[in-house]
Order: sequence, then structure tokens, then C-alpha cells
Amino acid sequence: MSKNWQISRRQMLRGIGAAIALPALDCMAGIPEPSKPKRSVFLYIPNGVNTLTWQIEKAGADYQLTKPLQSLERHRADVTPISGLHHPLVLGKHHNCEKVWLTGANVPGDGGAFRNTVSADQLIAETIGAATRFPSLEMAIEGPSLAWSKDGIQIPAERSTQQLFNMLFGVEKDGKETIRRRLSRRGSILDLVADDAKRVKDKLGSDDRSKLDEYLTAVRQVEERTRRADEWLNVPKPVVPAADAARLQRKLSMAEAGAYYRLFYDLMVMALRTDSTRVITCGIGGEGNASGIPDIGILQARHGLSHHNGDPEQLRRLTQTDTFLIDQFSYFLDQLKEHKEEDQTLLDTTQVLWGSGMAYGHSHGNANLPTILAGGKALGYSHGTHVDFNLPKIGKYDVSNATEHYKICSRPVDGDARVSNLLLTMLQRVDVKADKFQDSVKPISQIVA
Amino acid sequence: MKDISTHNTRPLAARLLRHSWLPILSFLLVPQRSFAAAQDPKVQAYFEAHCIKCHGAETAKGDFRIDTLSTLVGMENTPQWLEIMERINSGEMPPKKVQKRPSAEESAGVVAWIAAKMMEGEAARMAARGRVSYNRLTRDEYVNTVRDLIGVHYDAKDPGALLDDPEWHGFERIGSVLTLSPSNIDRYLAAAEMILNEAYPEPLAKNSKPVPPFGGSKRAVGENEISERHRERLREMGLLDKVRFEMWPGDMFRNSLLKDPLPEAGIYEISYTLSGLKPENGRAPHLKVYEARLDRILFEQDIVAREEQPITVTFRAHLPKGRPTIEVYNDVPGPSNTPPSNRHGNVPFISTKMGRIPWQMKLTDEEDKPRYPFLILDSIAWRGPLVTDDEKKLREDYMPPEDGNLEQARDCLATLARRAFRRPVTAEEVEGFVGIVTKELAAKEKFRDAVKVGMLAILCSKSFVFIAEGDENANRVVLNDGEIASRLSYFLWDTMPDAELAALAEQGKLRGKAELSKQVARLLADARSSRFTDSFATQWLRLRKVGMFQPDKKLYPAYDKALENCMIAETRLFFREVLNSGLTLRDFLHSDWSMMNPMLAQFYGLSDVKFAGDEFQRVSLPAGSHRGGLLTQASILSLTSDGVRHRPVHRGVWVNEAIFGRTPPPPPANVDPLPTTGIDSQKATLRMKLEAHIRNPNCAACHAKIDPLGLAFENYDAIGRWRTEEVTDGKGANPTVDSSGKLPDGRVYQNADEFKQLLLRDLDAFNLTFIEKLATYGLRRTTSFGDRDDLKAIAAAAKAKDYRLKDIIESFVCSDLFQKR
Repeated sequence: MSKNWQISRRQMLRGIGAAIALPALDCMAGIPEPSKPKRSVFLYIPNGVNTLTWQIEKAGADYQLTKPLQSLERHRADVTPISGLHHPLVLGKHHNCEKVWLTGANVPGDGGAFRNTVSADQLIAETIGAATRFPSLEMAIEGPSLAWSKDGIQIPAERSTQQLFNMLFGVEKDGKETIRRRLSRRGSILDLVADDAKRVKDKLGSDDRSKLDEYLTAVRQVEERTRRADEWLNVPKPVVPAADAARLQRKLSMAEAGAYYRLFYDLMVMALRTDSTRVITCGIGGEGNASGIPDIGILQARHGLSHHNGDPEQLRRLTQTDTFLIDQFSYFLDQLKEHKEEDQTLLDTTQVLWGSGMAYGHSHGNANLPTILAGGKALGYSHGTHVDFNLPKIGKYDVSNATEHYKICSRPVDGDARVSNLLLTMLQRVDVKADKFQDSVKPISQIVA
Repeated sequence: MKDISTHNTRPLAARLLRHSWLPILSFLLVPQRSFAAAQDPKVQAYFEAHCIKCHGAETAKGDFRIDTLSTLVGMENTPQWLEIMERINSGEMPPKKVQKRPSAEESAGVVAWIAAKMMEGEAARMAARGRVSYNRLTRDEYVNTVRDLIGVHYDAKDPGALLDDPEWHGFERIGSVLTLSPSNIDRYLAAAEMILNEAYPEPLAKNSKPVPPFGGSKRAVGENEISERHRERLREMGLLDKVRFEMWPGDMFRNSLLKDPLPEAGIYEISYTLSGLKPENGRAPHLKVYEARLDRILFEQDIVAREEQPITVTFRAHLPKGRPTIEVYNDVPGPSNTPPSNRHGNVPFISTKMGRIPWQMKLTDEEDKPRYPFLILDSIAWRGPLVTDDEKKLREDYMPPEDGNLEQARDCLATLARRAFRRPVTAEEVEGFVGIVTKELAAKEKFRDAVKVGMLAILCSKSFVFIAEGDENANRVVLNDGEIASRLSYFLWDTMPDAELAALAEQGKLRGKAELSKQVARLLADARSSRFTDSFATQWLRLRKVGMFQPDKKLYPAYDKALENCMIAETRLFFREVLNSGLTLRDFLHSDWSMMNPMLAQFYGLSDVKFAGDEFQRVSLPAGSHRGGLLTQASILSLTSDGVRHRPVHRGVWVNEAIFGRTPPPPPANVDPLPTTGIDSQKATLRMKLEAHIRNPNCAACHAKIDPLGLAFENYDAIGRWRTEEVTDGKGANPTVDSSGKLPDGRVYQNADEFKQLLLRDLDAFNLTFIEKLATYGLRRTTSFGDRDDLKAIAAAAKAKDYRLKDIIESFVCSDLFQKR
């Protein structure tokens, strides 16, 4: 399994910020030739928003950001808020919307067995993942992972910032040879158990194989990971400057939500800067377990707030929480802008999707999903407008009539305005060869330059 | 089983857009009535006369069309056809209001036709069932199996350990639902490495001196933790060894460790000596020992012990090698632990009678009674790692006694594989594992380590992680003895067969019903059967949902994790009591007793109930307690709420599923949002709002079958407390709740008590549902049409034994169904 790998110094240089110490190496390979990084980040917030204060009312370039979105004003040239998108297969089905946000799969409404399909991020990782140590990075501040494999199986997310740091930048305790020995031992165990399963599989009819196939596929993929790990053994992990390392290893919790959120965002930025990965998903909260935000004096969990029953105080708090979440998002965009590679910022090479699978949480309305696309100018995006799929049909919004606006957030105005269209667009921007994603109709041309 | 199509069947164009169902495209595009019924002229005539008008292309009432269903009745669209059959059979369809209704005979003929088609299809499907069924071990089963196999405890829920198992309607052990991903394999590898390293730690180097055994005790506040100023003063007073650590509500203590780190991973015995002062009408202080890095509660218990008579509590915990991160809490609500109470100060605590620092809050009142729940720690003791003789023996079974003896290694690996795979192993399989050992030896690994790699491969093999039933070489419908042993053992003990079951299987004695019945009694009498009672009750009743939506702290300040645990414990222990005391299914619906501890009784407002200690015990419910049976337990009432409001519809769905085995169809997409009521509108109960919302006849059709089963519980709020009025937003007085209702068959009730009485009259329906749930759990698969006769036979046997739970379980294990794949 072990070979002598060749890797060029130039390859090591790309994507690594100037502040970061570069490993001096002269022999590495087996890893694809350097390419211009095209990056993707997916960020999910649970339970929807206060759609009454959220809704941007005008489409086009001269739109006005609403109150919770104010902090995005400084990023106006780099963001596109989108209104009117939905996932057709899950309309009216709740509490599962985080599972299908990036997949668009159908969820049985009666609690029956649910099998997801592949998430967009994993399709991207499949195409470009070989270029980085981690084909993709799954993390979550709270709640579950957003990433689902080709077999529709959830890929677990890491919620510990310490573990994330160690995974990305930590130094292995054992020496290279010890690790190599361990990997090769793993390889022979996996070979043996795969052979054993295959022997039985060959005797079974094709209809009987599903569970064994699952097992074999899983074993083979772990073999593949083991092989990759072996390849990357020759490439030392990036060295993060001591001050950054200390900052990224602070022990924080949701008791100081703002700092905690920013720590996750900082880790994401560092993972992208060091080209450790080019695909990140991060759940900001689960539908049932997103905590309150003590920083702004709100202790109620987001799920409870979203069931506001029209109570103005609850609605006000929900807006405050929405504002907080957008403020943190703006911070993330700030950080991405701050780091330059050649003449581009990190934000220019990173497409970022921020959104929810729920719009009007109180009554589980999941049309007109809150959605913001940011960054990725170098990938061919054209930002600066509010893209709205409702207005052509409804003429204008009237958020003072709550019941009517809630209807827009519960039933799609334009049945063709699907989240899958946006995901398809994102796939195509990073060179995934796809004409269709799940139930997509066509890519969203308005956001492409 | 009812994946009702009602709301899935959308207009043709939308469906075609969404799915590329090309094979059936031509069929769908044919405009004539070429629907399934065409196979039989009489049936076709019936459908044309009575069904198609409403359930065809033009109207598609209830979003349900018959003309587009598959022609392969019994093979495809089975849930839909079953639904049609049931609706006609129950007389519900065609609706009563139409003028030209079919005769009863005509309807019966169509029902019989569909049923026959179902039978044919079922038979075909059964014959086509895979030769081997693979059921992955659940996380709990993995832990129990590893413990019984190698004598090592594995903490499968620690961060980075095994993944959560997916569930199906609450059931966590359905083979087809338990998927396996690369992450599972990754984690099986890591788990097996950890388990084997604990079973076979690195032996000491030959010449090194033996390490002294770990263990001992220490004061909670050691001499060197006392500031010098006080140390000398206390020494003079002879109090230096009397210093204790007082814990206010919410307080934390960190110094639980001895000087030495834990020498190996393993089970340790930890003791705390402490007092717990309970204020007269308040909650008892609550000791919680927590491992922060593993995010695991090691132990918790209410502590009531007089200040001058401390008690010692002892528990065991499995911990990794090194220095654990143990935090001890007095986990009970109480005054804030921040300044100005500033309670510890610098002054070492000796006794509540020694006074306090002037700015500290008072600990006791004028009569020296504690004002708040306090814990007072004296000392901590450690012992371990503890390995029982049985565990030692198991571990020795698999490690060759002689270093370098490959023959012994072969025997050891064969023994491990045979037990791990729960079946005989072939020489070829054993050679594979020996091959790995040889390979490792060739790579210059030490002999013991090489053998461990062979073991590792066994623990990651498909035959260990899957419980397999069937032969790859032949079609076999009934289980063999070994498979029965596994099914029975995992059913009642959640683990691999023990020596007795394995021996009986080897002797081919497990097919006999007399022997099975003897084994059921033996397994149930063993303490391990609590794994069955806990986990079946949890899965059947969906107890994992308790606390899923954390109750709102403002609305329900009394709710915390400790109370939540009590709620869940009541239901689990209730189930266990019904089993162990020979009670019947009736007790699940209504009883004059329950299982409670003081905290829960206080929550229920049952102040007259007397307790011997803090433990759960069976209590007789006083008249007017508004409790009894499962349905009015706080756990069930909470899990059918959303943390803010009670949810009558959810409660109705729950009763439909858990008691009657019916899963109502999911709500259609695109329902209008529930209107909100402004803070200035008149107060109204949730029920009033719902009733206004469900006027739409399309909604009403389904809700008429759901809501009456949930509205009986309007007297219970979102955490299960009794109430007569509903606290809600708006103007005016809180509205009085209305818990009356009318069942779909016309029977009426005024409140939950009367509702329970009505349920008791439907005992046979509940009996059949319960047996279906038991079968789903035991067989690890959904029950289907083909199982109906078997299920009915078990139900009849249960009825003959007056629905006694113990007998139902025995009847199930001794049934034909239990021995079928």
C-alpha cells in the first residue's frame, strides 16, 4: 500500500496563506495536480425565521435589506438573497426539513422508514475532494449533520471544536511508520472481511444482496479512505501560527453563543485557507435543539420561539435571533474577505449557501424558504440583486397582512422555483457534471454572470 | 404498514415531472379505464358504478385515484389496495350519502377478490424473500454482546463511539432500516481496537517491578487545599480533618481524583461519603457525578442524610485509562450560585452550626433547619479496575497461553469466531483469521498483538455485526435452532445466547415448545430481562421523544432533566411491574396503581402517598388522582406535546398508533397555515382554534378519526400536569378546558377516565395491536398481511389466558410465527 509519493512544492503553496508556515517537502504525489480551488460552504439554520420582518419586498438591484439582514449591507456586492424557493417533496412535512435541505428527497409523512438521497455537498466532494486532505468537512454547532452519502446514509458531523482542530491541524502522537503500519494492518483486515462477504454474496440471488452490498460498499469506502490517509501521510498537516492555534483551541460553549459561533466560523476559514478541504457543511442548529442565545438575553430555544402563535413579544425575539444569526454570518463573510490568495479574496473562490428548510415555523410552512447565496465571484456568480420568484406572480408583498404572507410561506407561489435549481447551479459552478439535481427544473440564470 | 397513498397521488403531470417512471408511463397515459379491476368483469362493474366517479381523473376526491393504481393487485400498490379493501369492508366506502349504494353482497365480493389477490401476492413475495436476512446489531445489542463475549464493557454512546441507530415508528431494531455506512465500519474498527486493548493490555516488561494496586480514599478538602491562615487555626482546634465541602444548589466540586491516574481502562468503583440536607417542603439535594470529556453522567441520586450522620454512596463506572474529568454537582434548582451569596468564601466549612461569613446567605433557619437543599461532602474512595473471574476466563479463552504457538492461536480464534458469529464456523473462515495473524507476524509484530489483529477481524466481520437468518445455499423458511437461540436471546436479553441456550441449540432442542416455554420463563426471571422491558416499552411507546422539544423554561419552571428521567422511569417500571406481577393488558389502559418516587408524586400533586425511601415503588392511586394506566402518565402526555403547548392531534395520532396500530395518513401538503391569535384577541383554548380550523370537510374526514382519541386529555398540559383551565395568550379569563368527545363509532365520553373505560371495551383490538408490536420488535421486521393468521392465533391464545402479559410473551415465543424467517 505504501509508495513513494511525489508532490510539488508549488502544490503545497497553493491555498496556504502567507502567515502559515509551509512544510518543506520535495517528494509527494498521488494527489492530483494543483488546481485553482473552487470552494463551497453550506450553512443551515433551523425553524425558519420571522417571515414578516425578514421578507425583502423589492426585487432587483435597488432592493432594501430588511432589519434582521442589515449587517449584510457591507457585503451587498457579494450576496444574493433569494425568495420563493421550496422543496416540492416535503411541503407541509416538518422537523425533517434539515435532513433534506441539501438533498431534496421525499420524507414519508407518516413516520415510516425514511431513506435519504445524496446531498449536493457530497456530489461536489466526489468531483473535487481528491485534491485536499479532507474531501469534505462535516460539522455542526448544534444539531445533526447536513451531509448524506450516495446511499442516503447520514455522514456524522463533528460538534467539538477541539476535535475539529485536532483533526485539521493537530500533530499525530505516533510516528509516520507506526501510522503506516496501522493503516496497512487496517487494509488487510478490511480485505479479509470484504472477501468473506463477497464469497457469500456470490451465492445469493441479486435480489437478496442489499444488506451485504451495503456492508461491502462501506468496507470498500473505508479501504479507500485508508489508502488516502496513507497517501497524505507524506504531506504534513499545515502549521497554524501559535496565536491562531490558541484562539482556535479555546474551550467555549453555547453559554457565550456569539463567541462560540465565531469560533466555528474561524475554524471553517482556517480549513479553507490551508486548503485542508474545499467542501464544508455546518448545521447551526437542529430543528428540535437549537438553544437560546444568552448574549442577547434570549433563553428560549429557537423551536419554541418559532411557535410564536402570533404573540408580538415572541415574534420580536424571533427577529432578534434572526438578526443575531445574520450578524454571525456577516462576520464569516468578513473573515473570508480578509484573506487573499493572489489577487482574489477567499470569499471570491468560495460559494456560500445560508438558509433554512423551514420558513414559517409556527405552522410548519416550508415554502418561500429563507435563502442567501454569497461569495464565489471567481466561480462566475453575479451578485447584488434580490432574486424573487414570488413577485412575478403576486405583484407585491403585504407583510402587514400576516395570514396572507404566511400563506406565501406555506404554499409555493411558483412551483418551478425549487431549492434544487439553486443546488444544481452550485454544482455546476464547481465543475460537477450535472444537468439535473433531484427535482430541479433548470439552473438559476439570474445569479450567474 | 399503511403507507397511505391518499396524499401522494397528485395530478399526473406533477408526478411525471417529479419521477421518471418511464415503465408505467404508457399505462398512465392510456385514457380508458384500464385500471386493475378490469381483470374481473364483476369487480370492474363495481368500481365503475361506485368508485371511479369520485376517485378517478376528474374528481380525485381526497387526492386518491383508483384508476392509476397498478394492475398487479397484491404485488404493487399493496397499501393502497389494502386501504380500499378496508374502507369498503368497514362500510365507510362508498359513502353513505350517495343514493345508489351497492348491496352488502356486492361489496363483500369485491373485498374477497382484493383479499385473494393480496394472498397470492403475499405468497409470491414470501417465496421471493431473500435467502438470508441480515439484521445489524443495534448499539445496545453491540455493547451487551461484546460484554458477554469478551468480558469488556464498551461505552458506545461516548463521543466518537458508535452512531445512533435509525428508527421506524419508534422501533430501533428493524433489519431493513438499520443501515450500514463507511462511518459504521470505521467505528466498528475503532471500537474493536479499544475493546481488545482493554481485554489484553500491554504486559509488563519482564524485569520491571510490579505496580502497586490502584485505589484508596481522600478527604474532599485536603489539608493542603486549606489556606495557611485557617490551617493552623483548625489544627489547634483539632478540626483540620473535619473540614467538609458544602455544596449549594448548582454548585460544582472538581477534586474527585486520587494522586495516581487510572492505570488501565476498566470498571472502577467510586464512593462518596456525604450528607444531604433537605428543606422541609423542598426538593432533596441531588448528587450528580459527571464526566465532562465523555459527556456522560456516571451516577446521580437524591441524597438525604443528617449533617452529623453522613452516608456513603457507591457506584461503578467504566472509565478510560488516565485522569478522568469528573465534576460533581448538587443538581437541584435553588438560589443562584453567583455572588453576592459568595458562599464558600475562604473559610473552610465545618458545620452549619459554626455560623457563616457575614455576607453569606443563611444556610439554616431559626430552628436550624436547612433553608435550601445542601450537599456536604466528606470523602471520596476509589477501587479498580475490577475484572470478575468470569470476565477473566472469557478473555483467557481467546489468547493462546503459549507465546508463538500458532496452533493454539488457531483454536482460540475458532472459539471466538464460533461464539461471535453465534453459529458453527468453517475451517475456511478460521484460516482467513489465522492468515491475518501470520501476515502480522511476518511484519515483525509481537505474537500477542498479531493474535489481537485476528480477533479484530472477527469483530468487524459481517457475521458478527449482522444477525443472519437463512442459508446462502438454499431457500429455508423456518429458523434453525441456532437462529432461534439468537432470536430469543436478543428478544428478551438484548444479547447473544448464553451457554445454556447455545447448548440447547447444538442439541437441536429449541424447536420444542415445551423447551421454549421453559426458556422464556428462565430468561424472564433473570435480571437481564429488564433490557427487554425497558427497551420494548421505550420503542413501542416512543419514549425517546420525551424531552425532544425541551419544555419552555418560563412556562414550565418545574421541569428539569431529573424530573424528565422520573417520568420515563415511571413508564418503564410500570411495564416491568405488569410483566413481573402477572398483570394483564388492561392495566396498560387503566390501573389503580402506578410506579412513583417522591419527586414524581410531588409533581403529580399526590402528597398523601407515603414513601419508604427515595426509590421508585408501586403506589396505590388515591381516588380522584386523575392517573392510572399508561395514557395519563406524564411521559406520554409530554411526548405528545411540543414543549410549549399540548397537542391534541399528536395525542390522537399516538393513541391510534400505540393502542390501535393504525397510522393515520400524513397531513396533505399545502394546508393553510394555522392562524395566529393576537395578544389582544379573546382567549381561546387550542381545541377551540383547532375546531375552527378543521371545518374544511377534506380535513375533517381524517381528523374525525384522529382528534377524538386525543381530546380526552385536554385536562393535561404540555408536561402532563392536571388542569381545569388552559393558560393562554389573549384577553379575558383563562378558558375552561373541554375533554369530552365522540369516537368515530358514535360512543361518547366526558373525560379521560370515561375514555379509558371505552378503550377497555375494545380490548381485543388493543390485544392484536400489542401482539403486532411485540412481533415487530421480536422478529426485527414489519408484520404484513402474510402474518395475519399467525398473529390472530397468538391473539386468541392471549385472550384464553385473560390477556396476561407474561402469557402473551410466552405464546409469541411458542408460536409458529416465532420460528419463521
